[in-house]
Formats: sequence, C-alpha cells, structure tokens
Amino acid sequence: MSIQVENIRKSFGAFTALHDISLDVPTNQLVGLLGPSGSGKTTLLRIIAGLERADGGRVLFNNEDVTHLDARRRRVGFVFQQYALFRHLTVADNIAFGLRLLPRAERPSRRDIRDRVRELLSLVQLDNLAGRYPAQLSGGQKQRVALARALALKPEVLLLDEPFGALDAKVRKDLRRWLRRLHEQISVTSIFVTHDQEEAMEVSDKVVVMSQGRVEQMGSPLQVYEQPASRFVFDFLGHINSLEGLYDGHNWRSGDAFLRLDTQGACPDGALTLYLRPHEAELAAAPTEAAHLPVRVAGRSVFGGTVTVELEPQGWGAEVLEVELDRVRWDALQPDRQPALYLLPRRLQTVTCDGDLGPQVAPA
Amino acid sequence: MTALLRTRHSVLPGFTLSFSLSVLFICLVILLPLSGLAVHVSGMGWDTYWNVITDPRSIASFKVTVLSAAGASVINAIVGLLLAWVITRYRFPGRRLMEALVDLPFALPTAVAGLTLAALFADNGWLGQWFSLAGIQVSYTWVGIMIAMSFTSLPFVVRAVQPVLEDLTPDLEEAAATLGASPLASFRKVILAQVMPALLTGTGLAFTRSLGEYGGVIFIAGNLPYETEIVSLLVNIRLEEYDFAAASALASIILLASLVLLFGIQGLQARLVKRWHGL
Repeated sequence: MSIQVENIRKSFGAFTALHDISLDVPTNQLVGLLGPSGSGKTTLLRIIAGLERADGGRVLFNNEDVTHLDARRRRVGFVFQQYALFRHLTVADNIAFGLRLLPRAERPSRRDIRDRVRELLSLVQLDNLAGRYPAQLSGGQKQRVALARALALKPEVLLLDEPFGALDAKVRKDLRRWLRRLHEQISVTSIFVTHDQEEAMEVSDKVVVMSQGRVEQMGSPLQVYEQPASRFVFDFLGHINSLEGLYDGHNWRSGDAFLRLDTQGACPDGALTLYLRPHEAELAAAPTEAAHLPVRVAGRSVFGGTVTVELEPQGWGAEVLEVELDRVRWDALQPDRQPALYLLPRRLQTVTCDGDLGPQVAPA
Repeated sequence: MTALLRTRHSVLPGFTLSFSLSVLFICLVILLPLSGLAVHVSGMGWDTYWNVITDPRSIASFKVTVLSAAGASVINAIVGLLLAWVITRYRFPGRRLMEALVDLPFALPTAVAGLTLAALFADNGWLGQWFSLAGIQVSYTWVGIMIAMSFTSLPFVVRAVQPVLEDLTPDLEEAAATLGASPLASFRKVILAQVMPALLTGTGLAFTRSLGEYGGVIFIAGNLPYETEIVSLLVNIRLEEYDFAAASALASIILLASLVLLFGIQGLQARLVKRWHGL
C-alpha cells in the first residue's frame, strides 16, 4: 500500500510542529524519518497513524483519503517506543489482542487465532515465550512482541516510533538488521522514526531528513549522504569539522594554514567555511603544494580497523578536528616519531557566506 | 536465622532493631487488644455466644451493616475510579485542591462528618429537601447509612487506584486503538483489566472500613433497633449495659469478617502482582 502525505500542517498552541509537509512512500518501501528531537517526525508518524489530527492537509493510503478515519479504522500496525505491551496479558494474548476484537464475521476461529499467534511468534523468533508476561522479557524481546502484535492483523502499513530507542547499543544493532530482513519477508509499507543517523542509513530504502517541522531532503541513504541538499542535512549526518578562513579566488587561508582550491568561480572572494567529514582526510609527515594544514595529535581512540584522532591545529584557527584513519596506515605513519603532522583533506564541502552549500572541492 | 530471612545485605544497618520494633508495635497495638477480645469471648461458652449473635436484633444489625457497606462499596468503586481517573489524567485548575480534598474523610473526625451529613440530608436540609421532593427518605434509613459509609471510606479506593492509573501511559490506549479497539473495548480490556486488582483492594478496604464505621453513621442512621441499627452501635449499647460478653461476641464477628477480607485481598493482590511483575 502506498502512502501519500499532502500539505500536512500541525501546531500545538503557538508552536508549529509541522509546516506543510508532503511525502510519497511507494508500496513496500521502508522509509526512515530522521531528524533531531523537536523536528516533528513523531508528530508526522502519529498523524499518518490517525493518533493525532492534522490542522490541514490530507493523508492517503493507495490514493484513498483516510484523513478523517480514526486510528482504529486505518488498519495500520503501530510500534511504540516504550513497547506499550499490555502487562496483564501473556505474550500470546498480547499478540492475539487485535484478532479477538474483530467483529464476529471477520474474527478467525479460536484455532486459527492460536495458529496465527504461533506463526507470528516464530516470525519474531520468540516461539517458546508464548506464556510469559511482558515483565519477564528483556527490552529487545518486548519490542519484538510489540512488532508481532502490530503485524497480527496483517496491516499493509507498519509505523514504528523510535522502535529501538530504549534498547542498548548491541541489541539495537541486531534488531535493526533483523527488522531489515523481516521487512523483505513480508509485504508491508513501513515508516520508522529515528534520531540515529546510522540506524536510518542502515535500515531504510529511503531517508527523509526533517528539521523544525520541514522536510529537508528525501532520498536514498547514499544520496542524502553524498549529495546533501542543505547545510542542515550535511551537518546532521555524521560528525563534521568546520574550517573557517578567507578565500581569494585561488587560495583559502587561515593563519599559517592554506589550501589551494579551484572553485571555478563558484565561491566569491571573502569569508569561506569548509566542511570536512572525518573520513575524508589523510595525515602525512609533510605538507603538499596544495594543502598546508599543520596539526598536533591531541588524542586518539582505536576501535576496530579505524583510528579516530583528535587534532589540534597549529598556528591557525579552528576547533579541535576529528578525523578517522585506517589503522594500518596510521601505524605506518609512526605518528609519535614525526616532528610535525599535516592534514590532507581529500574532499571538502564549501559553505557560502549566506549559509548555503556550495560545490564540493578538493585541494589541487 | 539469617538463612531463614534471606535478606539481601542492605547498606542501611539496623535490620534487627527495626524488625524487633515492628514486631513489638504490632503486638502492642494490634495483637494485644485482639487477644483480649478472644479471652472475653472464650469465657462465655459456645451456647451463650451463639445466642448473642443469632439474636434477631443482632441479625438485623448485621444485615443492615453488611448491606449498607456493600452498597457504599459499589458507589465508592465507581466514584473512586472516576475521581482517580480525573486526577491522574487531566490537568485543570483546582486539581491539587481536589487531590487534597480526597483525603478529607480521613482527616476529619468521623463524628463531624456524621453531624454534617445528618444536617445536609435532614428533610429540610440542603440536599435532603430535594431527595424528599423525589420521595426518597435519606435520613434515618439505610440509604443514609450507605451515604455516610461511602463518604468515610472513599479515599481507600482513590488512593489504591491512583498509582496504577498513573502507571498506565496513554500509549496503551493508543496501542489498543491501532489494534482496532473501540473506546469502550479499550477501557474494558486495557484500563479496567489492569486497574481491577487495585480497584478490588481499594473497594475491599473500603468495605472493611464501612463494617466498623461508627461516628460517621450514627447521627444519620436514626438507630432504630431492627431497622437502622448498625453493629458497632449495638456493641456500644451492650457495653453501656455492662454486658461485656455480648459486646465482645458481636465485635468478634466484625473482626473476623474484617480479617478474612483483609487476608483475602492481600492474597489476591500478591498473586496478580507476582504474575504481572514477573517475580
């Protein structure tokens, strides 16, 4: 089932949560709504579910207007951040809750309900926990029960509100991969809300980046990362280093540091800020003709195959920089024996003085 | 001893002291009077005991007390749940005042409450005149007794239910709604089902309390033997007649009923809590 959101607006008193949002989610896609808290992503999800009423605009499922349908008539599966399991019911009864409430004509027989519950339990890999109460489950298990419960009525739309928000890092990672696989097994159009960039990037077919009640960009994870549509998107997706300096048409300077940049006239002379992603730079014992950025190592942390290094600029103005280097190359550099180190950016994002994103450039 | 108690080592010292004090206190305040009562009763012999409690006047007073207490408990279960719901779910001016007023029946001497209620529901009282217009006699009937009992025991229900309602986050109702539950179905299957143990506990306590209520009731009851005479009053009458044995016999019945109810409630509560909290 496809989902269309058209010009949705919502305010809470004086605070405008959503300004004129429009979205198109094709059938069977898994879309991540990504944004910082207060960006309106949860409100949008709740409006799609019918748990919240929009002040204006329409919500369509398969081109059918459902704007004025109650949550209970929309037939969507909804998974809550805090699971919202019924603690007085066993796992099996939680999952069967919706099936038992169906009007008599549609309600499956007792046996069919039992079979359906068993099927769902095996889908979420909790076959032997049917008789437990929610309080006897771990967070990850609870969330899987919540998911099974949401899927019990075979909804064509599945909405998940920060589904892994309350779980610890390891369980989170397992569960989101599992969700990705599950989504490929069943035919359902899903939207999930998250503030975790990594999660959105890993799980979604498409990412919708939201900020202050507006959609900043919608695209595949690679697209929003490689071609951010706005400064906000660039800023929000992963850590960035910001280098501020002056540009004269050929060179960017800040104190003792300089970069030779050819922006082909896209950046006017004057103040020019450069954004550098941590993994788009190298460290060397000597500067090049195009890049002279002296730095000193202020801290490092080794994790897996990468080394995250904190660098203090020497003789030029910038905050402490963070770069991620390949561990083998880092060791080969023997940084402790070098009298001086130089940062060599591979790619930089220019930010023009009006705050918009300029072209991406490399020192040459 | 330590193996028997199996307490986890606590950072606060003084388990032995605090435990002993608690036991001592329970003995002095509760067990001692109870055993006094038992001694009185056991001295009178089974036949006399039976005669006292099956005396028609006693039977009538048991009936009045239990029926009024049951009626009061039903009212309290409904009103108490509603009050607790309003206090926990809504934010409105005067909410704190309402919250404080709930405890008023506990704070007020019950005799004061009784006098006030008697004045209110008298045939020419503020409320009583409307009831008498509708042809309902409140004062000097079991209806009056019921109202007095429900006034003095309402806080039990509210205070028992309130914490549970506070625990029930709105996302539970929303979850029920997305699963197709009508408002009525989600109230019954989600809210009421989870509140039920606390509601039963609160109502049970209110009932127990109503069985023994004295001050709140006697002013409005009229105290007609065989009609509106409650057990506590009858106990008092027997005491004034220096018939300690009869008074004790009657009191022992109320006591027994209260104890059975309390233990029953405790057991039920423990079973459900154990299940739901995964212990």
